[in-house]
Amino acid sequence: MMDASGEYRRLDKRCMASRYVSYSIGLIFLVICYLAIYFMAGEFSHRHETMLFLLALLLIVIAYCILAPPVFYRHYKYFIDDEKLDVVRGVITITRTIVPIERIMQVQVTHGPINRLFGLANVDVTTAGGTATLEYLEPAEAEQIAARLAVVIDRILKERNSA
Amino acid sequence: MTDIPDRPLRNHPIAIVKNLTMLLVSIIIGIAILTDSETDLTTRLISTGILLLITLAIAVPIVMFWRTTTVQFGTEEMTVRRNFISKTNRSVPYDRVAAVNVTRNVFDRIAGTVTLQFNINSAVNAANADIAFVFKTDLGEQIRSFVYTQTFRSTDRTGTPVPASAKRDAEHPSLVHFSLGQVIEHCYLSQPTWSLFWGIFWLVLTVVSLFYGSAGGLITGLIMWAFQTVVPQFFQFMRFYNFRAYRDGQTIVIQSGFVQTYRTSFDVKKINAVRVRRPYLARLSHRSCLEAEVVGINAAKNDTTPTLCLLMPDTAVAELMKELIPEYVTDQPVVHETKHSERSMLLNSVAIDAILLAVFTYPVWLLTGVTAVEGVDPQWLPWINYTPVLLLALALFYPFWASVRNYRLLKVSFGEDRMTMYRGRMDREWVILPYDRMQMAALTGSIVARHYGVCHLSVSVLSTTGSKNIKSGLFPTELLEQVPATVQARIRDGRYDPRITGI
Repeated sequence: MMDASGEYRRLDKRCMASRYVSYSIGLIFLVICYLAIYFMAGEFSHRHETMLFLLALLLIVIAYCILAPPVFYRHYKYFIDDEKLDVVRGVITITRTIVPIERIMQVQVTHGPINRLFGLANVDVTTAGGTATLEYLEPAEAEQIAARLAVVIDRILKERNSA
Repeated sequence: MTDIPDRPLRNHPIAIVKNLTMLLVSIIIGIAILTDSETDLTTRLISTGILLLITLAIAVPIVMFWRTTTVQFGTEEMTVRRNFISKTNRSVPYDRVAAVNVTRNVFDRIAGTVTLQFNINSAVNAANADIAFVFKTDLGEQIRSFVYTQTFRSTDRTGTPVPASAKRDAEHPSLVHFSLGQVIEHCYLSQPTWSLFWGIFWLVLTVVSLFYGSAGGLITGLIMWAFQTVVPQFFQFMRFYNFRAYRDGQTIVIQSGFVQTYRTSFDVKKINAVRVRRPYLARLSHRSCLEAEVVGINAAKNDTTPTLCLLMPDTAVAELMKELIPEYVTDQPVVHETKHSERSMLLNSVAIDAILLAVFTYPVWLLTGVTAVEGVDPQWLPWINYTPVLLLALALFYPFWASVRNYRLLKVSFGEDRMTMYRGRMDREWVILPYDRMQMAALTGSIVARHYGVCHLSVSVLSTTGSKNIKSGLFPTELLEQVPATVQARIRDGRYDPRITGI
């Protein structure tokens, strides 16, 4: 639906590893919860069926966590020019976010703990209506994008002030 | 040009009293302890010491902030200076101001003062004033008039500058008039339908508990009804009593209030979106209210309803829009959702129902077989057995109902400089969005929607409460892609002028 030309750029494959680690942390928490219920809830009616039901839910979540990162990687693409920032992302639901450079007020490069493990960084772009994020970029590329956006924003502001 | 002193101005001393209200309460409690004849001497001494410490800890910073905080009104900007603990110097150009508000609360009435509040056009701190100062009424009016002129550079609709003296409220008749009953009706019917029904639920619980002599149910029902309905509507009534609205050149002025009066004024170009809202019960009586997303439109904290007009007959609202905000009157042809949209929603409903059935069939089936529950009267067992079945059936039906209603009701229309989204199934609204105020656009489609070539459009705008996402129904992707393309084209060819729109 929202496919455009080959101008879009894709992410490094390390983004999948970063997402796997993020999901694993969540999964560990869920497994601990399941085991806590299994061992500590004691006897109650329909215990066996309830535990099977919870296990089925847990397996569905695990399946999603295994399958989602490659799909996310396949869908994710971004495009920046002097006019706009365009990001396509998602797993089941795909979202294409378009931010006119004219509306950008602040650009920030963030290195989260998991992303740092894999040598990745995010660029957060803030407008008056909210924030858009370019995720899982090479730190050098993130800095380069932030610097490039800063130059464009600076030029726009100067043009506005001199008008 | 103005009689405003050129020197730095300090808050009126009543500002200290306002801020010391909590301290006064603690002093009263302290005095109550100290004057209790049964309290021994040691306790009295300790209480006195604590009271003195609390008094100093609260009063000294408040007084020092008052002494060291000033505001100076220049020709191009206002400068707020603080020199307590840290030294700050904040300059705000007048063209960054989104709204100028004037409030008068009980303290202001006693001291003959007004509180001036200025909001800057920014998502940060949008619901609260960026700058607030208390001045004697005459000086406050002069400052308001001056900032108002400098900020909005008011002109009439032909572009001729309007002299400052013409901007006195008394000279402008309100475009709308509401009786006491109409204000009460607005307070009750303008709330979202879920909130209205929730309030009715608690009221019914109170009455039933009274009938059956259940003290727990009675107290719970009464408290919840009071917090859900009575208290918020009482404050709404206090807020909207004596509601006035008029337009002065390019400036819209809204005024209301019972004990505390509010007056807010803003340039029509600072409006980020206009909404005609029709909650379910209001819709049944063919009434709607008008709202606008403007930073700082609300002088009252925690009031996030940017009301331009209380509930009125639909025809009267249409007439008012022509007078108050003719820029937002729209008669563009509407586009309905397509058959592909309907198929996509129905297939999504099938998927949702499949998940609901997979997850809930077994637990619901187990509950239908329950024959005894400890501590529960057997006469309630049929409720335990069959209520989950009914709830599951409703949950399965809801996505299909929502799909059919969305297909019939959700629309969009596109104009040269704005678009309109027609939204809502029970509580309906039309949101009119100028392209030049859109900050971001997001096109979202599920697997099924993508198969049928349709998607949702979410537009982010600066709002009264910071920022807001406004989402459309499902429409062809090529159609909705025109929206960000139009925003971009207007920037490119110069139709978007940042000097006019500010952001």
